[in-house]
Amino acid sequence: MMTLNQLHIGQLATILNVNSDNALVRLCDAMGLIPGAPVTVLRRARGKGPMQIKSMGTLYAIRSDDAELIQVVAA
Amino acid sequence: MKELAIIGSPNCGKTTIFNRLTGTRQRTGNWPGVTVERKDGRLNLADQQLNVVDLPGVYSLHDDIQGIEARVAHQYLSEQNPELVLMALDATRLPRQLALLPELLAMGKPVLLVVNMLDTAAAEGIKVDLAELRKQTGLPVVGVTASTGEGFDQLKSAIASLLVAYPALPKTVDVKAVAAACYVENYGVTRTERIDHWMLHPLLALPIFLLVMYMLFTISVNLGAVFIDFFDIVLGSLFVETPRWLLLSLGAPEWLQAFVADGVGGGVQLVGTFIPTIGCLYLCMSVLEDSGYLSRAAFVIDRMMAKIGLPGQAFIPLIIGFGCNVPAVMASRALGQVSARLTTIFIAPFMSCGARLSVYVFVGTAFFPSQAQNAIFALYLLGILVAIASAWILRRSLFANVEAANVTEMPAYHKPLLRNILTQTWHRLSSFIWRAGKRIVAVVIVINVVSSLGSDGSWGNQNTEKSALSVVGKTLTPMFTPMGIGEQNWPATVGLFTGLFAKEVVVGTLDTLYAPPLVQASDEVSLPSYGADLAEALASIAENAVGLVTAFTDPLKITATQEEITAQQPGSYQAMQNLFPSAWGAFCYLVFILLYAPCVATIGVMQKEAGQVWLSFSVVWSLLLSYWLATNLWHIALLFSAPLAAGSWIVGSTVLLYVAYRLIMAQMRRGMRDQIPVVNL
Repeated sequence: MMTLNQLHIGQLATILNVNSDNALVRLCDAMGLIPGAPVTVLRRARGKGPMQIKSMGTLYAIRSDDAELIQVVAA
Repeated sequence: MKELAIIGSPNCGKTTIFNRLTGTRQRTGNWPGVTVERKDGRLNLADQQLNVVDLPGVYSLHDDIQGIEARVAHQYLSEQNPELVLMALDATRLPRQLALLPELLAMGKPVLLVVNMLDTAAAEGIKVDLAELRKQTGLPVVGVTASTGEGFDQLKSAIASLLVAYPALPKTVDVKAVAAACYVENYGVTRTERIDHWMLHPLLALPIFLLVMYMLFTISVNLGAVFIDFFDIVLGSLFVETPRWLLLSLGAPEWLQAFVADGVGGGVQLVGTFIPTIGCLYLCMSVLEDSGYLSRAAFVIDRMMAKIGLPGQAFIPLIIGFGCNVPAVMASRALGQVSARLTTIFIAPFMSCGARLSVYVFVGTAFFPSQAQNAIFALYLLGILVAIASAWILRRSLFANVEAANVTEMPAYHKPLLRNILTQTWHRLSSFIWRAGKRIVAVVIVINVVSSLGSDGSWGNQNTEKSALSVVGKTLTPMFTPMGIGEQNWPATVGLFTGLFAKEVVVGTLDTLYAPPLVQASDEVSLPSYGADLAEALASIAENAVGLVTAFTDPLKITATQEEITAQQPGSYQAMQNLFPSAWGAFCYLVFILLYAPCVATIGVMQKEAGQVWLSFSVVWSLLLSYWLATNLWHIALLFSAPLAAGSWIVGSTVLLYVAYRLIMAQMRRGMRDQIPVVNL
């Protein structure tokens, strides 16, 4: 099982599940990062820094702590 | 009048569409019960006038995700029944943007889809098929480019015809299928990604970020400062001197003069001096927001801010705080999360502002002229450390259970639009003037009446030993002995009160109280000569503009302030040097000045942005902490001469501070569940 923060840069994947029952799920829901949505990592800052991801034409900034809770399947 | 509502997610160009439709025929207000801004405007169609309401930007109408904004939008839609709902969609992110549509249809609202930013979509290599969108959704669709005004004629005629007859509303829409049919993503590298390659470059991102922040600070603080004297002089002439003369000529009692001229007039004058700084700040902020760089700046600094438990976006209010705390508190409104917004508002006043600098320089030059630079640096650093510590404490104790998710959209870059920026700046500025201004004037009236009232019942005793404020200062002075302020040094205590007006006022108070002018200024009051005042005001702009050149090398103006004060050679230095026990005592006093309480203007905006409870919490915390810090620094110096007394003070006060901290936190935690929504208003 992979999480969003483990993806290589440029690798295409699909969101499987947002593995948390807190604000993150609701936020991801509202912003469209829902199970089944495609996602690519564009860049990541060093260490625990944020990542820039792209999903269906929209760019997002997400902290790697939060990305760790999002399960993905690499395409 | 028929009503039209515009809804859409944040950053979809909703407000640009609103501005295009209504032009300058707008007014702002608040949604009932909350301080989420409500914008109304007039739209003139061929045969009728419409009221247009700009709803808050929301991703969803469920209020558990977006809180107040979503609640406001939902409540409006369900209760107000607008004739037509314009749903603004950013063409570059169409699939996401459509997510709100099923909720609108479920409410049975007549929807007109307005697809915006078609030019950006074209530049990004994204294809949007409007005809297909119309076919798939069964809803009317208009494509526009709000930044240029393209498509607005069609939009207006579509609105006009839909008001006459609206086609049958589809029951549901399969958003996914619609998106797939009418939107072709650019799978290559888009323009925004190419710009991001540089803006978020591993090596260049930080230098670019620092350059932008430096420009933001220099322009908003220093360019704004050029016009402060202008407002000060003109408003002083109109609102302070004129009513004083009028009241005197009418033979009005002195208390009325103190109330009207010094209180109300002085308050208006004080609010006015903030206009240029806040205007310039919002001008810069709007450019950053509109261009799309703001979310990149947050990305760059996010890792550092995460360490104190704040999102990257919180960096901007804090850096602005070094210029002035008032716009800093106001800028924290851009933070989405309640806990992050409250924390930022809480710690922003610890950023040492430009006004406090003049006090440091004034006192510092008297006591440690050769070390002034280092002392000032130490004070700035101390402010930052206190801010970091407070943020850490809040996060641990108060917001420990608040789940914070940090996912934000990064909008595509586009060219900022002048008319948008100006309207937005104006809205924010007028919100400061009218809403925060009222509170500021109220506090100024109170302080001014107390400082004008003499102990013998006479009026007009500002900055003299006789004023009620000086009497209060004298009475309270023993409280400050633990930080090295002796009985005779009561002017220092009075300075703390007048410093509430604005920190730089401390300089004037200390200067006059330590060395009272021998000859009282003549009491003659004449009608101000408006021509001369205006000329002086205009001259001040030119004069300050010359100083702007040095602002680029010395943005905090440390050297300039030093030169100014040294040039004046204040006569009060000798008295001050005699009354303060030592240079260290003076430094402890400065530490207290740095932290004890924000000025009235900051207090006014804090109350507006965070609510009464949070404001009181913040002020109590600053007072306790600054007192503890200043007295302990003073006692550390006493450790050698009187180890027992000093040691027991340090231990005792620390224990007391800890107990007070536990009590406050318990109090806040208890109220937090109810408080947060209230404070969030």
